[in-house]
Amino acid sequence: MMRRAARMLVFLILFAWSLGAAAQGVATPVTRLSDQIFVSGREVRFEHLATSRGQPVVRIDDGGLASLLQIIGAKMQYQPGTRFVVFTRADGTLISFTVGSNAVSVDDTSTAIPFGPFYEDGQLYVPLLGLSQALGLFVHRFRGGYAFAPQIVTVQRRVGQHRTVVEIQATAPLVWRSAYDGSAKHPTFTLTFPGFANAAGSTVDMGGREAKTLVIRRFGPPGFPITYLSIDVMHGVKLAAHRTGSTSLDLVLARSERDLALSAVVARPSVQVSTVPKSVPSLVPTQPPTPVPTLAPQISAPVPTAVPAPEVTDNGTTPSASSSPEASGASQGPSPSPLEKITDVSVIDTADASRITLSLTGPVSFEWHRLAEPDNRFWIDISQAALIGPARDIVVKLATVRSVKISQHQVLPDHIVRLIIDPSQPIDVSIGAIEGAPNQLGIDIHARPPPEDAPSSGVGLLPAVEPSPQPRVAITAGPSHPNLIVIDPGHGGNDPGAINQQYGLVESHLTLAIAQRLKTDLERSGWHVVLTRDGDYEVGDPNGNDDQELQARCDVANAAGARLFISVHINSSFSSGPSGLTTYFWRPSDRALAQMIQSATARASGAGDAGIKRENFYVIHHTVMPSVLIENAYLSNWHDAALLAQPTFLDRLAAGIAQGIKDYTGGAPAP
Amino acid sequence: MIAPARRIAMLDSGLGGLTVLTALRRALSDIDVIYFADTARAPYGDRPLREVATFGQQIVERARRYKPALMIVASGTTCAAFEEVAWKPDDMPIVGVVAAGARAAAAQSASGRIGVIATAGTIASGIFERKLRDVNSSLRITSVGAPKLVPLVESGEWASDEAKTAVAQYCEPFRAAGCDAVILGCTHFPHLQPWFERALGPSVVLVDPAPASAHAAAALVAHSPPAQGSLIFEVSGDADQFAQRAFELASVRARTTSHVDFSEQVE
Amino acid sequence: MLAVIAIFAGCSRHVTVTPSPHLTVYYCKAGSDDLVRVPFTVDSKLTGSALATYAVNQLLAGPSVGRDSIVLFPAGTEATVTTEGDVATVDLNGSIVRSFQGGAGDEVGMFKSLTYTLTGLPGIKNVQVLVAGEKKAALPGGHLEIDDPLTRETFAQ
Repeated sequence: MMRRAARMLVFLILFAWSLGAAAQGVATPVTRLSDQIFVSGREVRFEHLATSRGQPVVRIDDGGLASLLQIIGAKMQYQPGTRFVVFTRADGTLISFTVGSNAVSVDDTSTAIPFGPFYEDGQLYVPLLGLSQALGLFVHRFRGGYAFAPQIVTVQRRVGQHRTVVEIQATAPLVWRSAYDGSAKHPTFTLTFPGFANAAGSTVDMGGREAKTLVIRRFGPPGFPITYLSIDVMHGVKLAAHRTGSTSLDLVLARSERDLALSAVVARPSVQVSTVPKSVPSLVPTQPPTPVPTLAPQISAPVPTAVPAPEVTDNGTTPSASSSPEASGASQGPSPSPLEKITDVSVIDTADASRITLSLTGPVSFEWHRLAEPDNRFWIDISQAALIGPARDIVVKLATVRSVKISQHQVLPDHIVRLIIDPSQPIDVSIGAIEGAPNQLGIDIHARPPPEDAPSSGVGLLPAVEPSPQPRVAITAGPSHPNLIVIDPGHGGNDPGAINQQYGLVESHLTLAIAQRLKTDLERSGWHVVLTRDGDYEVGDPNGNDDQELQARCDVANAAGARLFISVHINSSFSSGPSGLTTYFWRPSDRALAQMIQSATARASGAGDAGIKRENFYVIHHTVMPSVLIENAYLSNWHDAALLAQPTFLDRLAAGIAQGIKDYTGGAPAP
Repeated sequence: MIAPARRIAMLDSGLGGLTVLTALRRALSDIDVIYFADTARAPYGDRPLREVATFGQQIVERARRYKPALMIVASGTTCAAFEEVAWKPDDMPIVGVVAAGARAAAAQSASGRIGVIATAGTIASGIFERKLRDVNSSLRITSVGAPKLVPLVESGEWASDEAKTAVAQYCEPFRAAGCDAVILGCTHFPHLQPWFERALGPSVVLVDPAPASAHAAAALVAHSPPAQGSLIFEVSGDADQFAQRAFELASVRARTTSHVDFSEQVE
Repeated sequence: MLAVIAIFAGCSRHVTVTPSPHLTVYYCKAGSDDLVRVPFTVDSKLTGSALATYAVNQLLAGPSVGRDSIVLFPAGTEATVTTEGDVATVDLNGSIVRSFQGGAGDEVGMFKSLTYTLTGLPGIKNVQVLVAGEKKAALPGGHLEIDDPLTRETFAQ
């Protein structure tokens, strides 16, 4: 009896042990991770984010990985079933991973990472942090996720006989804005790189001939860093910025225009020599960024009287395209005049217009036509142009546009590229050159109908333009982020704002407290929120001037392409009488937003409703998206101050503002 | 003349033509394709050209049953082979990957100095030179045969140190000659693109004939009425394995995959 | 001289006003956008920059009555005013440029009253504000954008 029981016991123990062992055998090292990932300030959704050995890993076929690479201008190459994954960084650096090996080769240097890519359940996983390190990204770990941003990695000075050149290199395609303040005793030139962190040091001694010092600073929230370079420039020195590659930039400082030309630079093998810039290089002072640069007017030319209406087919080709049996390619013999190529087609969507930008290799002439109702189709024929790539659809977000197609409409006797817009109602289209962007043809499709007397056809010319040294405004580079709201807690650091001595209330502390509560409320509703500051410090350079401080707040929102900008302040008056809440707006189109926030916040908080007002406040004037400035009650009024001293009142203010935002937007967009 | 259907036949000795197929479908998503893969008799590169020409003729014969608008010959060796025997079907236009690549390279080279890298057999046949001179007789052509590269890619070692070194060595003549466009004359070579880019530098254009031939073919059927976007594989070797690999490499799935003996006479 | 005129203006409540007011100074009510107009009778020989200077000095000094409900520039504010064409340039200095601690409402009130007062002078349409001799986006610690000339339109609701 005892022996049988003992045998049973041994058997049970063995069974349990083997179960445990088996369980360990099938245990997978990969468990799902629901962290949020931000890249250069944009949230990127990953489908197969997981964690292994304490580190985030991503599946090779994850759409999120493809988006991350696209944002930083990198490419990935992977052959299923082989043991390699290769990434090419925007600056041409090759990064090779080998499955199972913790050595990554970055160009020809090998570095160690905690672990390499591995297969699990037939799927290849890549370690996200190791990859981002190799891609030259700055990583910020926060509770709930990671934020990645490309970095400025080199800022160095090269001195020539009559000029100084600052070489700037980054790990992703560079976008920048520049500002020149010549009014101070020491003129200052600033280059701002939104979305970039700094790995290039903090100062560069400029030698004192053209400039004294160069300082590099990073500001902005960790999830959306903004790096800027500021140079003390000597009087009489001119500057020109030349893009030398997608990830590099040469800033030339010289006193004479001749020395500013790129071709005078000592030849570097990767530099594409551009033609000498003609325009005076002293750059304009800080201008408010515009979301879409203005179109130069079309050069007027007589409208051809008898324009034969070519058959506009759905795929944009005429039936006369050759179907000869001698099919060995499209072009037959040389064309009479030089062919320009359309090398790229891109789209920027704003609320009431979509801009299609065609990148060309040179000047072209074009002709456009509009069909009458009910057809409404609008097409543009670009002469002597070759489309690189196949005929394709262009995706445009305007609701009234059903489709846009571009194709190589004809090759004989002349090359013609045709772009056809098929709208559901008549649309207004403007076509022209883009200021500051040579060889780019802009086609703006507006949501509004064309003017009454609009002609039904016309011609135009994209003129030859010498490349100008003006860098592109950063704002044109990125798409808008419909789920991002930027909140700006007013004042901060060396500017405390208004103060109530009796209650010990300081405006800059209160604005931050309200902003943080508002951020929590909005994030709970599915928004992505960035604060211009998350502590008691200046948003811009603490040693900078106040103008820069105000602009810095706008930069955060503009550069990120936020949906809304909300600036939070507390009011005060020399007179203790005025009390209550006021919401300020500037653009007439923002009146509705102001009204909704004002009503909801007054209702939720119990503060007096002092109404909405239209005022030209800097931060709501210089942000390109709908923006308001909320003055949350008066520190100078005894009743309001007593409320402001209570944390629950601040909760109610935040809840009210969040409700107002919801009323205006209808809620956060679905991911 | 009745507009031809939007149906194209493709010929290759294996998976190489898949890059043409994906480029084709990107250009015209509804195009019907019948892909003939002669895996049983691959690789073509080591066979005498006359033999390859016979294979090609057999496949064209089979393709006739589908009445395609044209056939894309994705195998460079087969292009060379048809040239060798001076044969061309009278009822089916042929879009050869070699001619398309040559046109694309000539168009993109500013200096007229063009390089070609392909298998030893393709280079020996001289077909790329001939097609390039057809486009422009004053081009200066540098040809390099690269026998090490196909086995490296086939064995999965495309990113090994061996592969990187081999590519760098093969690219030396192009750098010496100052080529500004190099044709990747074998369908395996685009897998090695990063190493080519590194070896040749950013001012050299790498020409992949696959998309060039896809565009040329697409242009010819662009005005045809839309088709169903169906894909048929006819494979002379292991059909299931071929379909599986095609899905792994290019995410394409065929409506039907059949095992066929191309040498059988068609009635 | 200024004192004499001020007394004169004060006295005008007790005597029949014969000449029509040459100058209106606008003050802004605290906590609202409403303007209070105070007419002044001024020597007709006062024109151009001198008249503008006089108007701004009155504005800075404030009215003699009802001061509690009116937005005034901070005590110790200095202003130098010049006119050219249709632009009056006001160079602010003194206490106001040392970190304005007032609220947005008062800030608007100050500049609105300044703008209305100066654009009420013959021929003046624009008011360009300078802060210690320089164009600035806003007062230090301020909200309102002042680098571009202010007009009555700027304050239109």
